[in-house]
Order: sequence, then structure tokens, then C-alpha cells
Amino acid sequence: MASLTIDPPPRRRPVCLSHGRWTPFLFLAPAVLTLFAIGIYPTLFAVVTSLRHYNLTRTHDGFPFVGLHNYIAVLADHTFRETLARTALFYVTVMPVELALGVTIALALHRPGWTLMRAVVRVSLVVPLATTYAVVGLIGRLIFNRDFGVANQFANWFGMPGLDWLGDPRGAFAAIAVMDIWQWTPFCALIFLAGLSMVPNEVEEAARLETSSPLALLRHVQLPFLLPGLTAVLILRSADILKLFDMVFTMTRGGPGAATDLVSIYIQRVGFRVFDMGTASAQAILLLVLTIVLSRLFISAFYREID
Amino acid sequence: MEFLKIDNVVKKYGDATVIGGVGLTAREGEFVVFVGPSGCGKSTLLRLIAGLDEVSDGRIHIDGIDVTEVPPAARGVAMVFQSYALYPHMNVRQNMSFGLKMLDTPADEIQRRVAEAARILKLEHLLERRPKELSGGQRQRVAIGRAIVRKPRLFLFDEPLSNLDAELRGEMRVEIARLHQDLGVTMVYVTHDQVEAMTLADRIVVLRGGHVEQIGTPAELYDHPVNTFVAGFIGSPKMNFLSVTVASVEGTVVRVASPSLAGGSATLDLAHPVVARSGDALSLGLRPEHLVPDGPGAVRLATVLDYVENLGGQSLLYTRAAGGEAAICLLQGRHQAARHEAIALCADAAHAYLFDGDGHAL
Amino acid sequence: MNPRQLRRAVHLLFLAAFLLFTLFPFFWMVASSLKDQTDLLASPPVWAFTPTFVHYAEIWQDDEVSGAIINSLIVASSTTLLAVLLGTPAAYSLARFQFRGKKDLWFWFISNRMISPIVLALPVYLLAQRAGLLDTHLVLILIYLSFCLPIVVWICTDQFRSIPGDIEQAARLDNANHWDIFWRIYLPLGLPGIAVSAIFSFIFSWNELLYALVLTRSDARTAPVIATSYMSGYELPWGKIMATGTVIVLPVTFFALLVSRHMVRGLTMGASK
Repeated sequence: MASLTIDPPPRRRPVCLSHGRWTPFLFLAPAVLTLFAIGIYPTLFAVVTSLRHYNLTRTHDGFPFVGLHNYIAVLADHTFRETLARTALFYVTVMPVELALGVTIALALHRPGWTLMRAVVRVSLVVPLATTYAVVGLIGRLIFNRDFGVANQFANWFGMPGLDWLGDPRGAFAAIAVMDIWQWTPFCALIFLAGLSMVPNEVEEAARLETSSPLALLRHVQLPFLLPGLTAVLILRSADILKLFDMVFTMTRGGPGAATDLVSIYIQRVGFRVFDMGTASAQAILLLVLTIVLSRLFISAFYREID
Repeated sequence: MEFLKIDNVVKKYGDATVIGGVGLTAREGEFVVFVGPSGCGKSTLLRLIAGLDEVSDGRIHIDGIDVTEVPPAARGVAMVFQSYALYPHMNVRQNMSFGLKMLDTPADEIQRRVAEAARILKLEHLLERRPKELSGGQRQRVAIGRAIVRKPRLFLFDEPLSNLDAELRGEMRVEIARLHQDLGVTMVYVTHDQVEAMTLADRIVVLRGGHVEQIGTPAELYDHPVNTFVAGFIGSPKMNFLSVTVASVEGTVVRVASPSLAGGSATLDLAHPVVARSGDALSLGLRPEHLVPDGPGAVRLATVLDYVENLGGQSLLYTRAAGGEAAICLLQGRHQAARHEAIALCADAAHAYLFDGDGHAL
Repeated sequence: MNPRQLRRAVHLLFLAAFLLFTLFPFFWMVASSLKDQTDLLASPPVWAFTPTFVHYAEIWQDDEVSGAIINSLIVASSTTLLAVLLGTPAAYSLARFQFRGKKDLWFWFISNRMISPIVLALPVYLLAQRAGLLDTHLVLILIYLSFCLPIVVWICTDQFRSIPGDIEQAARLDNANHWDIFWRIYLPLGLPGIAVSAIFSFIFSWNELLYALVLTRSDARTAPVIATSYMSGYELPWGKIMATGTVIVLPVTFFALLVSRHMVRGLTMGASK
């Protein structure tokens, strides 16, 4: 092995980045600067706008600073408070259904037997999740049509009279709730399923040897693994419903009357129909504050400190 | 002239001191093994030599040059990782060439060196395969090959054999030993396996809790362990320890007493003046392989047999001494004895070790 | 039937019922797109009909629809490409470096998942108006990055962290600098995660309505905007609407099926593993 003598060290490139203090930031800079430009800067701009009288249809008197006037107006605004309450009502309407259905489906998908069928259902769960939210609204509008909608046909099969769903305040609210349940139950199911699959196989098998009751199994073995998912769902869905726009906009535009006027729909209308940017910005900033509180909750609940 | 010199190196992670002031040297071409239980800091020390971690204090010299502040790639070291750390998306040839490519080595030179390393390690037919298509032993050889092609001045091995099964481990141990002879390069090798340490090392460094316990050749560590830790760590099965008290001291000769000793005491000649006084509590160390049932030795243990483990050519006798200590005896051939049978385990006085109350060898 | 068989039957029945529930709206959209106007407006709705492709022919010839789909393609692919380009180095940094402020940065990235688009839509509209960027692809691509970039950063960070640290150490000893390690080791090894994040980025940009609605008028209108735009007048062209809907939904459904195993990860930013 005489050939493997020690050569003189070859020309070396400088390994300047190895312990460079700025290296992490060089890699981060493109993403951070971009997000700053498209996220933080507009947000600051919105804060400034929210402090002005800023109506695009009345530009002749300029956009004077009015301090916290917009915020005071928004907080005193009945309609804004009602939309927030309606959004909350929507949340407490759909969530119990989505959670209950989601857990049931997750359990049915976790239970052995009917392997092929379970695989098909498992895959089909992503279909509602990927469907363009605006198109969901269009489908909903067709399904819940008073004259030729299939919802009324189903109702008739069960001996119930037809209903002008989208023309009736309660009907419209129910209709958007149904479409939301359709689209987001799979999300809950997938999260719970992920929780169930975290139960170590041996533990579940050991428990199955000790009890034949699926309820006892659920309560004592599986529930602890479902709880983190439950919290995640509750927080994420609350943020999603505060965001909810596309589906409701295409289905009802917030109507009839104000029956489905959720908070994002309302702010959009104030901003882009009434063109009262100052007020809309103040509303949006308040919404943002609410969202940041939710994110904080979410993060403290789910992310181990990233090391 | 020492080739590798580690000078009072300290490594802290936050408040935790992982390496607490280690100093050692290695000659050019020497095979040094760091051994110790898990968490003793041996891998950390290796990574400090490689430059993968920065020292908190102290200096590291390689070939007379202070490399403490030198980035890892410029230290001229190559390392074989416990997990092999092969690049999964590259084939064997690319894995071995990557380091040279990063050094802007000419293509024909890369080609030549890879071919040479492949020949040495018998990897020629595997050059186009990906790591996941290789067996554990083959991956290990690729990892070594990747180190060889760079012609490092210092080879570092981080528990390279611990992911292999027993048979392959034996084979690879021989291959690494042969490689060291052929290349004549300085190697530093980390293991928790004292058998690897004993068979491979020119010198062994026993570490515990971030401190060096003892440095020496395998024979030195075996024959003259400085304390009970080293005595217990080197040798398998582990050395037996008995509590004894000093009955009398006369120059180099000491008489120790214990209920475990047949006749209540034994006389040992340490060949150097004994620093102990009558009544001192000591530990008497006896290696299992030095004990013979009913043999001629001067140290005789009165024991009762618990259990016999038959290893084929050898037997392990698990016994309990009269004083309550467990004692193991390794003997050639088989031993026919019934449970609870009384056995006198005898050892030559030259093979008895005495340690003081703090565990230091007398 | 013994109790065990009964339980099995109930299990199957439930699975089947849920499958129908899940697929029904999708099925109804496709079926309606294949009905002629008479069948569409039949009351009660008909289930058996002769399929016709007349609505697809109609949107095929409609430059507005094809233009909108092309716009959607341009916007979604450019957003995805940019998100991957900008996001993967950031993910490498988050996965492999320690630095102060990392946690806050992380919090900020994740918060973008939660923020309502209306919050940004208002100021971005005013800013784009001033900059003359209204009704351009560029403004949509930029604003879509606000939710695609965090997704890419999150999924790729997760992916990069699963690459054993030893490999990076080995590369450092092989004289690779951080750029080499990122480019030659992490990118190729992280490809599965990068692909998943790219697909999510595409799906979310493709599906977006609110920004597109307020930031575009004619030239840069995307497919969801066009689909919504028919919803005025008394007699709605349901066949055309459903055909357009089908054309919009089919490609993303296909992509979603590709990443179905990662769906939860994409939608929760990895909160439940």
C-alpha cells in the first residue's frame, strides 16, 4: 500500500461559511424580506389607513387623520358586533357536528375489517378538502335551489316539504353550515385518525385483551391521543371561520338580509362595496388582533420549542 | 514528537461540562482508542478533534499546528461515523468522490483515488450502487473508503462497528487493524466495547464523566489499573471485588482479612511499599479468569456455587462468597457441580489487586 | 346474524354512507355539468339523463374561461416556484442553525396560516392601486406568497430536520460549505417534502378567491373569479357554471390525491403528527 502516501494538502477553498454568524440570516433573508414586504408592510399600511378617514368614493376631501375615531365607530357599530356574533354562532353550529362525525369516521377508519373500503374512504376524504372553496359555494347554490335543488328532493323523500333554502334566513344559514360540514368534517376525521394511529399497537392490543368494550378502549386508551388533535381542530377551525369568505360569498353573498353575513364577508363589503377603507381597515385590524391571540394559543399548545 | 496533542480541553454545553480538562498526546501512526461508558464524553472529544464542535477552553494541535480555530475540513482529518452518514442520494462512487470534488481535485485524480480505495476495500463491483442497496458491512466499508480517498493525516472513528452484528463486527475489526498497518496513519477510535479497545489499540484512553481515568497500552491497563473503575471496565467478565480489612503491614507485604477468604485472611506481596495501615478498609480485586476452583493459589475464596453457565469450551461459575459478595469464575472446560456446593476459588497472589477506600490502586 | 356479523355490517354501512356523503356534491357537480338545460331545470331533479358535452364545448370556445384558466395556471405555478425558491433556504436555516429570534420568526411564519385574507386585501388593494399593479399577475403572485411561503417553509423545515445530522457533519469534513450542503445534500434529499409543499402551494393558490376578486378586474382574472362571475342575472347558466367548476376542481383534486397522506400536515402546519 505504498501508493497511499500522504500527499501535500490540496488547494483549499475557504470554508468561510462554516461558523459565519450571518449564515443563518443569509439563508433566511429571501423568505423573510419577501414576507416582510407582502405581510408586515401592508399590515402597517392598514394600521395607518385605519387611523384615517379613507373613503374611496369621497376623495375630494383627502384622507385626513382621525385618530381612533374609526375604532370607536367600529366598536360601537351594531352590525359589526352582530357579524362577529353570527360568526361565533356559525362556529358553535358546525363544530359539534364536525367533531362528532369526525371522531366517528376516524374510529370507523381505524377499526380493522373492510380494508379496501376503508382505504377508499380514507382517500376520498381529501376530495372535499381540495375542492375550490368558491366552487363549493356554487355547488351549494345548485343543491339548495328552491325549484330544482336536490336538497328539496331529499326532503320530499323523507316526507318533508320543500323549502326556499337560500331565500330564507334560517335556511340559508343551515345551507352554508351543511356545506361547511361537508368540506371540513374530513379535516377533523383525518386529524383524529392521525391521533388514533399514534396509539402504540402493543398498547391497543394489550387493552383489547383486557376489555371487549370499544367505549372503554376509547375512554381509557385512545382519548389521550385524541385530545391534542381536538385542541388543534378547535383553534384552527376558529381561525378558518374568521377567514371564511369564498364559499359563503359565492353561495349567499351574506344574504338573505344579513342572515349569513359573517365577519370576513362584512369587512369585504365595507371595503370594496362601500369603499370605506378606513373603517374596513379598523375592522380588519381588530380581526387581526383576534387571530394573533388564536395563533398564540395554537402555538403554545402545539409547537415544542423549535431547537 | 507527538502528532496529535490535546491540551487541557474543556467542553461545556451551557452549564453542563461534558469534557472537563482532558490532555493527551498521540504519536504519528499510533492507534489510540477512547473507551468508556456511554456519556463519558468520548464521542464529544472525537468531535472536538474533528472540529465539528468548538472547544470551550484548551488547545488542539495536529502535527505541530494549532488547529483549535481551524474549520473541520481544513484540519486534514477524516471521520467514520457510527451511522456511516453516507449520502443516500449518491452512489458509492459519488459518495467517495464528494470530498475530493469539494476540494476541486482534478477528475482523473478523483477517479484514480476512488479506484484505489475501492480495490483496497473490495468495493469495485459496488461502485454504482446506492447506500440503501448495500449491506451493513458494505456501507461501513464505503464510509471508510470515503475517508481513505482524502488521504487524511488523522483518521477518526466514532463507534464504527456498533451497528453491525457480532460476526461482521469481528471481521471489520480485523479489517480496520489491517488498514491501520497498511496506511500507517494516526487513528483515533471511539468505542464503548472494551474488547475492540483491547484488540485494536496501541494505547487506550479510559474516560469517565469527561475526565481521563487512565492512559496506557492494553497490557498496562489490564495489569496495572489505577483504580477500581478501570479495573472493572477492562476485562470481561468484570473483575470481582471483595471488601477486606488490613490485618497487618510489613514492608511490601500486606495481610488482609475478610470472612470471604478461606482461613479468614490472605497474604499479598505488592513488591512496593504498602501505604496502608492496620484496620484500613480495602477492596480486593480478582479477575474471573485468574480464579481456579481448588487451585494452588495463595488467595482462596470460600464460596457457594449459585449457578453454572456453560459456554462450550469454557464455563462461568456464579458464586457467592462467605462475606456475601458475588464472585464469578471463568474456567476452561466444563465444571460438574451441584447448586449450593461449597467451592474454594483460588488465585495466585500476583493476580490480586488491592484498592484503597477511594478506589485507587495501592 | 350473530352480533359480530351485525357489527361488521354496521361498520360497512357507515363507511358506505359516509363515502356517499363525501362524494355526493362532487358527483352532483359533474353530473349537472353533463345535463342539458331542460334536465338541469327539471323539478324535481332528474337522476337518469343522456349526458351531453355541450357545456364543455361552450367553455372551450369561451375565451374568458380559457383565459382565466391560463391566468390561474400562470399565477399558481409562478407562486409555487417562487415559494420553493425562497422557502427552501429559509427552511434549511430553521432546520439546522441556532440563532436568536428563531422562535419569534417561527411564530410569525405560522401566524400567516391563520390570518384572514381580508386583513391584507384592503391595504394591498390600495398599495397596488398606487403602484399600478391592479389586475396584474404579479400582484396576485406576490400576495399568494403570503400563505404559500409559510407552507413551504414549514413542510421543508420538517423534512430537512429528518435528515440525520451526521450526514451534514460528514459533508463538513468533506470540505462542503453551507451552500454546498444545502444545494447538493439537502435539496436532493428533501425532494419528497419539497414536492409535497409545492403541491400544497399550487392547490392553495389555484383555489384562492378573495384576493383575486378584489385585485383583478379583467386581464388577470383567475378561474374561481370567472366561475363566480356568472352568478348574476335571473336565469343562471347552470350547465356552464358546473362545467367550469369541474374544470377548476379536477386538477387540484388529482394533486390532492397525490399528497393525500400529507393532507393533515399541510392544513395544520404540522400541529398533529
